Amino acid sequence: MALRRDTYRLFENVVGPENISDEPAVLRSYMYQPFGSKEGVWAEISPEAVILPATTEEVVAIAKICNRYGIVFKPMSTGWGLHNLPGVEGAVSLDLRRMNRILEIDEKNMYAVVEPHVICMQLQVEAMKRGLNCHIIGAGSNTSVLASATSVVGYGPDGLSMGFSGRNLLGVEWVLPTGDVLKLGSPGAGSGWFCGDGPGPSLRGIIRGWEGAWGGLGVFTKCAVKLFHWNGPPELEMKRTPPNYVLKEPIKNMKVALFSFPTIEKLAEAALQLGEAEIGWFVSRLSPSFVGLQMASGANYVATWQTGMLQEMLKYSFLFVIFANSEGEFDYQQKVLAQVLGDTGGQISPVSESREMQELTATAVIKVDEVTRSCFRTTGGFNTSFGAMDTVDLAMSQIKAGRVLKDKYIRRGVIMDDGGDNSATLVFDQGHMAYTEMLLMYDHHDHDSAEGAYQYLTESNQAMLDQKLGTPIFQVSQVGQGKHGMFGSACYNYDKWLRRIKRQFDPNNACDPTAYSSPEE
Amino acid sequence: MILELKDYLDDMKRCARCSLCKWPPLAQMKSWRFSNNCPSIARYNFHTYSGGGRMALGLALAEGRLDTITDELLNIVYRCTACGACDSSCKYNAELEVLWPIYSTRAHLAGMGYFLPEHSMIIDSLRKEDNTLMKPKADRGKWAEGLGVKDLSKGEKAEVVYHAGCLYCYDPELSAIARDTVLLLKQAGVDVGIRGSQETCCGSTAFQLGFQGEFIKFAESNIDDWNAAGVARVVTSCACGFGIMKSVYPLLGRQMKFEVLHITQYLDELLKQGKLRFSRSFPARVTYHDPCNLGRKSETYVPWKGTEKKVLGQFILREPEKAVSRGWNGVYEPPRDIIRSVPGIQFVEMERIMEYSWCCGAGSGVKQTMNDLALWTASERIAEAKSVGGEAIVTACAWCEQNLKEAVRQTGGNLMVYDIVELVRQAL
Amino acid sequence: MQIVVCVKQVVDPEMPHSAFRVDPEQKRVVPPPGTPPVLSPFDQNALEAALQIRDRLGAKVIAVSMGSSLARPVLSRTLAAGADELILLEDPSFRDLDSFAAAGVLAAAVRKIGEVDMVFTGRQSSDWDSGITGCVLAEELGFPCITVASKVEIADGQVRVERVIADGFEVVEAPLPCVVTIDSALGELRQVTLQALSAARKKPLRLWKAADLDLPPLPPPRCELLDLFVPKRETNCEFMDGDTPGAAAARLAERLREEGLL
Repeated sequence: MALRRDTYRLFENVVGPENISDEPAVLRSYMYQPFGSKEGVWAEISPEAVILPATTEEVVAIAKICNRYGIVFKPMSTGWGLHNLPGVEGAVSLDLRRMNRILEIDEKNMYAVVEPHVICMQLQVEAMKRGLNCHIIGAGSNTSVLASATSVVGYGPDGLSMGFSGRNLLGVEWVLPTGDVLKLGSPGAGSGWFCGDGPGPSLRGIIRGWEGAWGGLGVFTKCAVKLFHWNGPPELEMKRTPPNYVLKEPIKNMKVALFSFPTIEKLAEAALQLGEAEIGWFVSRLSPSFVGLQMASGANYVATWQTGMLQEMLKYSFLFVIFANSEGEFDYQQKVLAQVLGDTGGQISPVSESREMQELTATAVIKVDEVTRSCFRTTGGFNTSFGAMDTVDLAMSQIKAGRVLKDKYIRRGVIMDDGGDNSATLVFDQGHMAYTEMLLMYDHHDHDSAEGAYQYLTESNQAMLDQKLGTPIFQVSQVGQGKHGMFGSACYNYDKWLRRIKRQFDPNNACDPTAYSSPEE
Repeated sequence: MILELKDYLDDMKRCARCSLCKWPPLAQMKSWRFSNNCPSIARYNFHTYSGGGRMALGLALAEGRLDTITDELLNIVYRCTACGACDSSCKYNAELEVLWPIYSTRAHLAGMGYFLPEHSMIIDSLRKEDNTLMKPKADRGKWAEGLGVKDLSKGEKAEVVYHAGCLYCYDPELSAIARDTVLLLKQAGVDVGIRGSQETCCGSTAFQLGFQGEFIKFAESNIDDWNAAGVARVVTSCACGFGIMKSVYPLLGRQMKFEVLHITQYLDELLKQGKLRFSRSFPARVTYHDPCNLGRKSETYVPWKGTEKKVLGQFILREPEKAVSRGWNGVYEPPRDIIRSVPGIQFVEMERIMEYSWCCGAGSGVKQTMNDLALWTASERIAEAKSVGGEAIVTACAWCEQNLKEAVRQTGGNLMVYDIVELVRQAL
Repeated sequence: MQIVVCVKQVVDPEMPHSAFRVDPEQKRVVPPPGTPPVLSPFDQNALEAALQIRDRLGAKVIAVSMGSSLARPVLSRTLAAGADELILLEDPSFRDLDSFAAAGVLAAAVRKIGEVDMVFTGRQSSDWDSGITGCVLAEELGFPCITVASKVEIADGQVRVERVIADGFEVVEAPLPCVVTIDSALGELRQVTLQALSAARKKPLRLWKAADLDLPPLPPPRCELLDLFVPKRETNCEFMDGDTPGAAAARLAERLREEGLL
């Protein structure tokens, strides 16, 4: 169903002819979405047009046209993943790329106000000039600050010290699916952006709750996020050591190290203790495969992997970063760390002492710029499974379940042998919460591999249900009705609430519900 | 043939769609203001205009998913200076080719007979006059009249042939620089000659527009002519020429019995050997604009040929291992060393430099076909130069210089634009 | 007056040797990426002939091209050069037609245009060099045909044509309507300007498929392509010795005779 010309003209009047397109070549390029596609790289459903609004007013006008003429719309920020595309025929895509301004950095109150297409790295470099830093999600600094804060999960390993995107969210400007504008928290009262809630029930729970609405509940056009103290230099100078850009000078009072533990239980115990002690700046459990791929070319990686050295050294290990505000604090944190390691049998991994590793990881933990290298480079296809934002114990239970399940598929040869346990995970929010997800790599252009990965994902969802491991987070192929329908009845019928929210806020079902929740029971 | 879309199917199919191609390498980003690396996506915004979007477009064409070649498709394909910034940004995380699929998409379309009307003018001019500027072939050597430089096309012999390049030959302002260059070389005692009216285009524009048949003719005849002239070195002022001679000529499988140098490399060498000495100071705060073709695009490209093997289940291992050109080995230091050695000069870097330099906007025929994009891109660079307090911007490419100058004129600023040879002449 | 010019899109005859490849299985030239097709050079001369007449006497010049996949930017050059209209006869069934079938399709198109006074074609196309289409087209249309023209003039309903022959030219006259095939001696197609190329986009471009033409069944191919290959070019260099230049020359003459070259 192509967009009628008169409808197209209505949108065109809003954004101007340069900022709307239904050219087949443009639509095709938007349909290229390997992450989340079951097989290959192409989405099955094409948007009828892509629209590039530049202001809230334009978004409002577009939403109103959609409501009036029964057209479904779907917003995207950086657009990484199939869930960014409409899942129904006849819909239009709103690419928010032109809404890319950092509207304010309030140094004193430590927050920034951003539009949807500001990426984490843009905010970080501007924040650092003012002695501040921002939380960056695990997917990398090439992702939108606003998207993870308002709409999708939001965990990152710097969350040990810089929270969680959902929790860092302050004031929000929200264009409802109907086209009305609602301002959450203090901006609603014209009192600045410092707070996301007013008196009364929190709308932050409505707009995102646990994992976000994945663009299915209107468009968040502005939001404020918390910033955090940055004790490093205002500008980080890099040097080139192929293929990496690494810090030219080590950062004072920062220490990066990989620690390994005799068992996963001990690792969990150490993470918990470190959280309780409220030390550390960044922590992430890194699998041998993830670390190996950060450091090596394909052939080197395979050669190293086949020696078994990486697996041995990094079997149960995490990367821990201390970044203190003073030498005294640095010494204190070191001492606490030593004690925790003593209690849990943790050992510093020899690999982390090399200068190369020090430079590389110090840069990577600040910049979070090398995710593609470890996830997509080897096989092309990548996905993630399970997913906890809960207790350390739940995270560990998921890892154990995931390991067993993945081994089965690795033995079948349909997914990459990454040692099975390829989980990126650990405590966040100052140790009160723990996160995990189980990565898997496969060849999305190989039918058997793609099919195998899909079966694995399906089976992993079932395992979560059967073993009471919570609901999966990033199951892009499963998000929306499928997932919520599957897990709702096991989790206090939360899906019914999602549907009710969707109905209330989107009476015409104008905002594509595919990745969120259908209004129908 | 070197530009075959099907050779890049695997690259195009394995783009992660992570958008790294839209930014400078993330660790090198320094501000929000100058956080774009690609003029095309920065100006037009649809994903299609990015490196990744162009790969998707190329893949769709190769797989027959786009059955009609529309005017708008052609506009999208050619609203790109093929500056290669996307490629460098992609490659610090992946080992994919991004720029070559962009070239190959153009070659694919050109092979089907699809190009812009302006391109047929450029290509006609190449076929008839051996230059891209629609100027008479007979006038090519006129810039050197009265210089008393050897003319190799008349059978004279020299150790070094100076290849001025199309713009330096025909543009009156730029040909003064070519004359200065010859004088500088002679002053330094270099045994230099030119090819007068027999000099031809390097073929770079044809190549970048996807007309590889035309490119091959020029490249092969240049190689043959230089080999026959028996020169040890080909020195060129044309950054596009240098880039193509270094990165693409070697792929044609013809022996090149000469070394190719850009004028900045040669002047740097002569200065370091003491054959040229600066005596006058140039008291200004100066920044340097890296021409794409002198920088990241001059790195010799080695197309990967081999087999893919699956190990560790689904890990795709390329045998032999792929050589990855990240653009890190371009000519970056020689021009900077020249500038730094000028007495009294205060050299300051912009934010986007070297392999992640922002393009001036002129490349790949964009100046001739879409001047608005060229000037917008240049104005972004001028803003960047000003943001670091630059009073002057020095560059080493005729296209960059011309485009930056026009953008300064248009925006009415007072930033000076210099060719590096002008700077050297003034400081001697 | 209406003049139809038949133009063929061909593989660029000036492409570099290294780019030319044939697919021996399919017996086809592989279209080289990055080497656009061009208007067949003699057809360009044919268009120039029509435009010259139009310039002198006023006429509507309609360019017609036929094939299974026609490149608009290449063929719209006819419009930029001055043709008033371009008709593309494009259909999957028009792929690889031989000269006889091609002439049949072109004739159907000329009949559909109607009221045509002259049809110009190149003397032969640069890809197969058969030189048949123009003549068969005349046969199909029942028009007289004059080939290899170097000059065309029209007066009093008659066309007066100078024909290239081995030792000069001959002058032939025929009544209109007629078909004339044009030689390069007529002169190169005029230069086009960028403005003309842009303006060409606004000129009428029609697309006729097989179903749009009143086509009789196309004749079966009269020629069978047995093989298609790039001839191997071998060079051997032999030096003739001799005590004196005369002796060497005599030896050379003998060798040439041995090779059957003298």
